[in-house]
Amino acid sequence: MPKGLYIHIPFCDHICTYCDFPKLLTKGQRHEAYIESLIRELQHYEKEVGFDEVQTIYIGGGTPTALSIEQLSPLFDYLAQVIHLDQLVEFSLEANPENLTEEKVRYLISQHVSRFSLGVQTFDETLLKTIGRKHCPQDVHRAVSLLQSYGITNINLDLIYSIPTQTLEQVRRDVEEAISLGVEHISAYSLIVEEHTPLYLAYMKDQLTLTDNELEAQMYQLVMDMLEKNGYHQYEISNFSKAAPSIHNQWYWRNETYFGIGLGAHGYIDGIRYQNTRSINTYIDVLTNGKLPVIESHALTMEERLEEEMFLGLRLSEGVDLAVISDKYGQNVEVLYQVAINQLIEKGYLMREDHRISLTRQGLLMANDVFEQFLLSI
Amino acid sequence: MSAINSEQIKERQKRIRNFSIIAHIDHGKTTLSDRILERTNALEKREMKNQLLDSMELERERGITIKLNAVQLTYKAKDGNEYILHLIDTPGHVDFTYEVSRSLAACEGAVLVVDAAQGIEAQTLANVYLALDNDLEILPLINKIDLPSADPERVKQEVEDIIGLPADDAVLASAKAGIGIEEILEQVVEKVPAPTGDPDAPLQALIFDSVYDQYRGIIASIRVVNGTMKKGQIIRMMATGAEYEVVEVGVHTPHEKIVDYLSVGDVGFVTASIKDVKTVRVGDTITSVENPAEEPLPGYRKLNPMVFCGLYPIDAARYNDLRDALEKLVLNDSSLQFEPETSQALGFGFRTGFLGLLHMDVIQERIEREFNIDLIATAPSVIYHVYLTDGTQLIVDNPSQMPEPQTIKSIEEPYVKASIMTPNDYVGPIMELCQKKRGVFIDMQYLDETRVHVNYEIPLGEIVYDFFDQLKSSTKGYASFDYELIGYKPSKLVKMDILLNGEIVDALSLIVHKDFAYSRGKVITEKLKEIIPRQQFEVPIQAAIGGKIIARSTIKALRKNVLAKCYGGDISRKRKLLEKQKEGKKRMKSVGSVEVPQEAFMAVLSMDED
Repeated sequence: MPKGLYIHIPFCDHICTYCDFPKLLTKGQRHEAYIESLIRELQHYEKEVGFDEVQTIYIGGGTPTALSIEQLSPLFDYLAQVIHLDQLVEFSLEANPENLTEEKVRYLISQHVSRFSLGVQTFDETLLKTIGRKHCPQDVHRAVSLLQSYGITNINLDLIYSIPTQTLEQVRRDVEEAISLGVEHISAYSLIVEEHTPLYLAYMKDQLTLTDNELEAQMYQLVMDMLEKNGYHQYEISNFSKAAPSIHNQWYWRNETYFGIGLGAHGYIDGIRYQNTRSINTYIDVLTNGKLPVIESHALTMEERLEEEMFLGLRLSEGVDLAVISDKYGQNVEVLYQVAINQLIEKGYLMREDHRISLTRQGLLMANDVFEQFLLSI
Repeated sequence: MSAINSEQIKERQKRIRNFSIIAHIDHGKTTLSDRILERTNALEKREMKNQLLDSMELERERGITIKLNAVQLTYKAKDGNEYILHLIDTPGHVDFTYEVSRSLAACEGAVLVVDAAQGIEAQTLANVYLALDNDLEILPLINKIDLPSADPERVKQEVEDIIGLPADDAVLASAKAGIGIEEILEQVVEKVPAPTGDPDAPLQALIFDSVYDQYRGIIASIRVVNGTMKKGQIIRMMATGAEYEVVEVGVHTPHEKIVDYLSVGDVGFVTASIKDVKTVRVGDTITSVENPAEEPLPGYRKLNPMVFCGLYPIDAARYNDLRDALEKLVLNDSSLQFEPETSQALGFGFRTGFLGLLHMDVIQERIEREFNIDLIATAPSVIYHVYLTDGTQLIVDNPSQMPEPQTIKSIEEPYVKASIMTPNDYVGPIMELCQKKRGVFIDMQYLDETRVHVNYEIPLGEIVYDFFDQLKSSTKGYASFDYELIGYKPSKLVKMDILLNGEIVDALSLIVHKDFAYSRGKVITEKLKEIIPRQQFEVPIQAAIGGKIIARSTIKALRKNVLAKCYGGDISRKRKLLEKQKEGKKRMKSVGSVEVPQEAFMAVLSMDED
């Protein structure tokens, strides 16, 4: 039974230019109907699968804090009925610095939310404009102080680097400022210009230049160096923490199962990966009619599970233990991947200690070239 | 089988009409064929899929006809008689002139389709002349008369002026709207002569096409000129002498229909469990062993390939599959030539000769689609005549085989006469383009107030680069273009080598004119830099002539390749990304230690810094 529960709140007060997650402008949407539908979907999984082993909840978006307490409360009320929220090992919620009010913080804490993840992205006002964020750097300082004043220490800041025109110096300042806030956890993602985003359109119209690959590599290394030096341990490709790595997110990398609830959410239950519809009307209609909003599901073969175990596990700095995996899958993984592993070690991308392999610094930079070697069928 | 009554056959022969449709691309030949099929009830409505005769996937996609097809139709004419019509399809593009001549050899008449707005195009002319050479009765049909821009009277006048055919009786039609279909069928019945052969004479059947079927062996498309062919008969291929027993004869209606016999004027197919593809040649005559004909039918104009390129399987293990594919294609396309060659960079492959660029394109796509072999094609080359200082002469169709410059006395290259028909607004850009392609102006004729015929002599080697594309873009697609080989002329040519990571890649070598070498070298090295993805190390690209570097660029090393993006629980997406990356690499060819994508081998074609 899944240990993680992800719930998606797709509403945003404005749309960021790089975002390709399922999202909708808050204004004029069917919020009540959406929350009701979320509850219907949860009810289905509660009945058919069960939440007995759920240890973590992650409410993400969109922008969960774009909704008011009144709009959110039916969801929390329902969760409290089916899960002992006070006994969760982690209850995370994503928030935007500008709409995290004191009232909301108080409410969320009363609902046992224990970890807050703030979408900071950058502290540079010009770059914030480029990526379409509406907060200002002061909002972040205010939000962090607010949370800290309520005794919340498990705070994550999301940073994005390799924003068009961003310089190495600007990245340095962003990381410095994030560190100065004394938060527990920092995620640093590199900006990907995805299709169907405003940024992509601008790129197609030649209105922006992508960051050069060499510069991007320098930025990533700078981020790693600075955070490591300041006591943030890099436990995953993009994730750094002082002492409390995100437990929920590790389900993904440890190939554990999790529920995905809400618009466009992805779940992994009992060997089946599934994805929900990205259309809010379909989502609401289908659930109102007592059906699931799943539009795609795929039962993984043993081979696919093994591949994922490898390429997800290698994202973690601790890497994967080949002996453990061999036991789990009943075949000698050492032999299966012998050629690939040896080549990758020779290239300096992988290192090995007993049965454990993990990425080197060079391997972190070129991780996709490592991961693809663990796909067996191609 | 019932005895065949010679009188009945002769009676039937009088009611046979064999015709094809000649048209420029886009002038509506396929739609017209469809309407004729519909009108003669060859197909139920529900069976009509658009463009029925174009059976190859590729043809339907590109809207062009490449392979011919023949269909037997029955038509009840206004005179009360029922006629047997054979509609033989022809390809429209200049590269397929050879196939056109094949289908025309099986006909007595041709419907000439001319667009009511665009008028006659250069290509149409070429095919009309072929038809006239074959003594075909030509029936003009002016199509798309329902277009707002249609000007049928002007087009009629054009037909008379340019082709010299009386156009008073030209059918005014709109194949799309079903107008004029009845009229053209009536004209076919009235004007196209019945076949004239003798059913009692020794068998002579012309093979105009053939395909290979896994179970039935070769299926040969034939036109019976004299005599009769039936099941059980022992037949002989007159050119190769091979003998077989006929298993079945039949026609396409367009569904395949087995018949008792094929006699004079019939256009159908024959199978005889023929497994050895080499014994059946398109253009050969089939006769009967029992009562053989003295002479084969005159074959038709066989064209020689003018454009060559190397074809290599990306996966070296598929070399034999590639040979099988080429052998099967040559079966019904004897203009295609190939012989084994070896490249240091690409391994084992074939030097393959084509009639032209479109032909080359089509063959490559057919191999990739129908035979599922991923290919690397080297840039097209022409045949050079090389005279060495020691007095010997070499024929070079592969740039990498060009001898060292100090041993060469002179090089000759093939020239074509390029005829470009264009609205006069575009004469300027066309002349500019032709000059850039080392063209020599011959003349210019006004066809009427608005349309001009521009003639140039241009090296074929320049045409095989992006001439078509450039012509299209500089005339907004209005110009049409035809070319014919006019012979060899000396040129100041040199071989340019391309080096990746310090090593010459033979498959990228090319022949260029000395005066253009520097600029070409620059464009090509820049283009390759764009096409070849960053590798895990820095890769210098150089262009060299006789060991001297004339241009260079550098592909910088890939320094970061990692999904450092927040994907949440969306693992499938990560997987897809990795799969795409790995598959992409598989489609590349390892040249030395550099992964090179397919397109790179065509990059030497690029002319402009765009």
